[in-house]
Amino acid sequence: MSRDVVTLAVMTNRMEGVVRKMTNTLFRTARSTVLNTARDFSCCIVTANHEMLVMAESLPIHVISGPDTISRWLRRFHPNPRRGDAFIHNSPYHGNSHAGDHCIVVPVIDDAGAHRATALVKAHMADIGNSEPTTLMATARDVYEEGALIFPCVKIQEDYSDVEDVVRMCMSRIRVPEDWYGDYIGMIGAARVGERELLKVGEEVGWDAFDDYVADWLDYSEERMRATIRELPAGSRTGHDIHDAVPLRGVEDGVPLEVTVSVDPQAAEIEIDLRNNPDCLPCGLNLTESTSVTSALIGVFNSIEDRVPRNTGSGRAVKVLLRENCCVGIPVHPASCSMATSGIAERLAGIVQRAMAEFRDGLGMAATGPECPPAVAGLSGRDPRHGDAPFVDMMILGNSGGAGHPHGDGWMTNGETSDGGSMMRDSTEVLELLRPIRVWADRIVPDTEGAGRFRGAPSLYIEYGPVDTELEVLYAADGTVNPALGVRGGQSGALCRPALRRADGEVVELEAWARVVLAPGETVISISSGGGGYGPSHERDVQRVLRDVTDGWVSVKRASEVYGVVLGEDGLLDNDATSARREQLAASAAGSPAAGNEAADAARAVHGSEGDPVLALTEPGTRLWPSAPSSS
Amino acid sequence: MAVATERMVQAIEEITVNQGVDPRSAVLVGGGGAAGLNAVAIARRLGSRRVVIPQAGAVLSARGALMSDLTSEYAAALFTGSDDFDHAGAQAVLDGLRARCEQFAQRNGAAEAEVEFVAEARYRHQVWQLDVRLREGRLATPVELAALIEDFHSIHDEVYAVRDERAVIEVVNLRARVNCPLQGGVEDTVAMAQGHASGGMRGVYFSGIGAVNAAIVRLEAMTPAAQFAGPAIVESSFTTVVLPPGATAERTASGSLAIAPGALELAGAGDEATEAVG
Repeated sequence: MSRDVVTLAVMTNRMEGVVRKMTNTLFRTARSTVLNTARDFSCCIVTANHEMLVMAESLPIHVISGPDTISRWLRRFHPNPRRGDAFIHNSPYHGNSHAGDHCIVVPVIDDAGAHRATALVKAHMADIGNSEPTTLMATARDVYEEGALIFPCVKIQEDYSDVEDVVRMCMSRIRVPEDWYGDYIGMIGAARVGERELLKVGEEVGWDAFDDYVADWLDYSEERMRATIRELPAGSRTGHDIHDAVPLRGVEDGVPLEVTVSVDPQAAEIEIDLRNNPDCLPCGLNLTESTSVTSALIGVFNSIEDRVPRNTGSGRAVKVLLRENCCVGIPVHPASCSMATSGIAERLAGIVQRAMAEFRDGLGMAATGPECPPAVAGLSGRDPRHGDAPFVDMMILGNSGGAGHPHGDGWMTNGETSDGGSMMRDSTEVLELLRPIRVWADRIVPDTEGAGRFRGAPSLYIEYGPVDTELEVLYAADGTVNPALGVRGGQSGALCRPALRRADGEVVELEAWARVVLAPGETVISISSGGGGYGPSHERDVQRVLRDVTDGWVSVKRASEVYGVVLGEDGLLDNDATSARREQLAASAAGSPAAGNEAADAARAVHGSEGDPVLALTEPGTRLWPSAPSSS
Repeated sequence: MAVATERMVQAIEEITVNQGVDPRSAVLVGGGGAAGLNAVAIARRLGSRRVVIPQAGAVLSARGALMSDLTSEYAAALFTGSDDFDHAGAQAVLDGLRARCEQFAQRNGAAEAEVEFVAEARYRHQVWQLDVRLREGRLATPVELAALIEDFHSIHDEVYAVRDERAVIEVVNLRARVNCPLQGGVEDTVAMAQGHASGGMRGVYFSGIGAVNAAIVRLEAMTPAAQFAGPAIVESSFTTVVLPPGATAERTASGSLAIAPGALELAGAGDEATEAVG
């Protein structure tokens, strides 16, 4: 049968509509800010043959690869699912991203009892019962020390009613159980809305027509992907990066990473080899099978045209080589994968993007800012405004980090590469209403961008602390030593810098991996990593540099030194001096700093001897835009 | 056209299904100059059993403004939870809103006025509210609060497929809406243009069906309440409406076109006119 493209488009719109309805349900019903404001969750539809079909605006790291594997495990553990069943799943050894993401998996069963598709909701929970009140534990030596309940496809609803035994286990183990339960039923609602809509589709178009559509859509996606790969240059590139050290034996020197990307335009295939990486690490940084494959694919999708659908179909054209017991591969129980959606995942996508950029100018991207600064943290404590009721939540506020790419600057609100800009940042006002905290400052730090023809996003300065109570803050910050790398002559972004302001005003540095209890009057200062730049900075469009100067994002001094854009005493562009300076920069231009000491030194030198803009910002009474020209 | 139809369907479902309104029990009104091209196709996908193209549908908003009742809405913040409900505070806010509604009616010389009250409510720690109509417009007693709680659970279940009987329900805002019916001032219809006659047949291609002969009908020349069946194209001074095979229509007394869309044919792309030939 020849393909009916209109039916394809109509059905795909309809499927995406189903996923959006699921998304809307959880977004509007959830209790934790990580879900109802930051939208750190995903919804998708998986086929009965375990293929990822539609993800709409879900987070790439949650769904590109993983739900397919979860669907396989579901059928292995529960060969005959029935209508009304729902399963809770978070096992990092059975296709999940990391234990902190709870999945609700609802098999869609037709009237004859056959399993036709699966509606899957995956949400980053405020708490999962870890040994510490955070879902991101870089310092957990294994899954036991991590401590969460692990659910490998456990039945939590039968005949549309809770299996109370399992709910009781969660309510006994997860902090602030009422909020977990509220988030849980929001996920159930989202999955049931998906189920309802899919049953309607089956009833209206017939399940056989649905299966035809699925086959067509996945084949079409594969063809689009292969057509794109045919246009790429042939060859192979190996890229490197280093994840910062963790204060545990075996990881105290950081984690060196290597990826080889091979493009074969004739076979229309890309192969990504992740096998030459360290064995599973004795800490929470290990990736899962899902996030290893997904991060590699994110790097590819970020490097090519953006209209290739992301699903199992397009994924067929990319082969990701993994090995067992590898920190970027298939983890072996009891390795901890607590940080599997950020830390190394961010570095991995960055290496792939940079490797793609090395093939040809106009491809790939620089690296985004490493995660997570202390404004992306587990918060917990008691709220004096509500009779000291306990709370626990994930704050998603202070990361920017977008990477420069061939066609534009890094996104200021990129957040993590792994979420592809799909997540939102917390609303300061909502956060302050819901939790006893105040956000004292939220601003851009000048001169922190990875310079380039297209620059990375600058760092964010966030300062927050408790109000009339103590606040426990847990964070795991990569990027305090190894910056986001530039590519094709682009520079590294600034380093992440955690600090604490004592009640008497003194500012002290914090560790990269910390659990801090703030007393009333104390604040945490979170400076996120800047994104890497793409291409040489002296090639940057002069008008763009001038706008950055006007906006206060780049100082006059840096504009001249790094971009070769010279302003006169009157604040206007000095054309002659600019031409001369740009020639000089072009003659002495070196490549992008390499991973390791070279990049680390370069990143530190940006804020070296004089006028550290970060320290300047910590001064009480600092103006919001220190380097902005005064307006009349 | 099929893709445009599907997009419209998704957009309408966002504001119906997602808000707990079932489009199958709703009448689809086609406004704007192009609505007549695929209004029937949209209705079929939504499962709506009736489509109305108002006489002045092509200028729907402007016309609507001229013929609407006078209404106004007032809102006031009130933050209280079902675990320790502030009955006195809530009732005081409602009384204040009622007074403002009555002043509005009085100021505008309305002979009669209806006032309806809504609570914007949520489960504690949610950040998005649902509107719950207050059955008696009061929250002074535990019985009136119990009705609000019961209705909130039901609406939450209807819209989001789940309810949480254990959770505290918070009221965030209270709103009142006053409606003063217009006193016989404005005509419901505009004068029909005269001198147009229905005329002839035209070859029309419907995807999934093929080329058929469709009657060309002038709205002004139609006999009110007389049923006729598609395929047809209805033309008026305002707009053009495509009536695919299977749909039937009649001109109402007010000059609008009322359409029964007919059965939904499967495979989504099926049955709307993709182009008119001849």
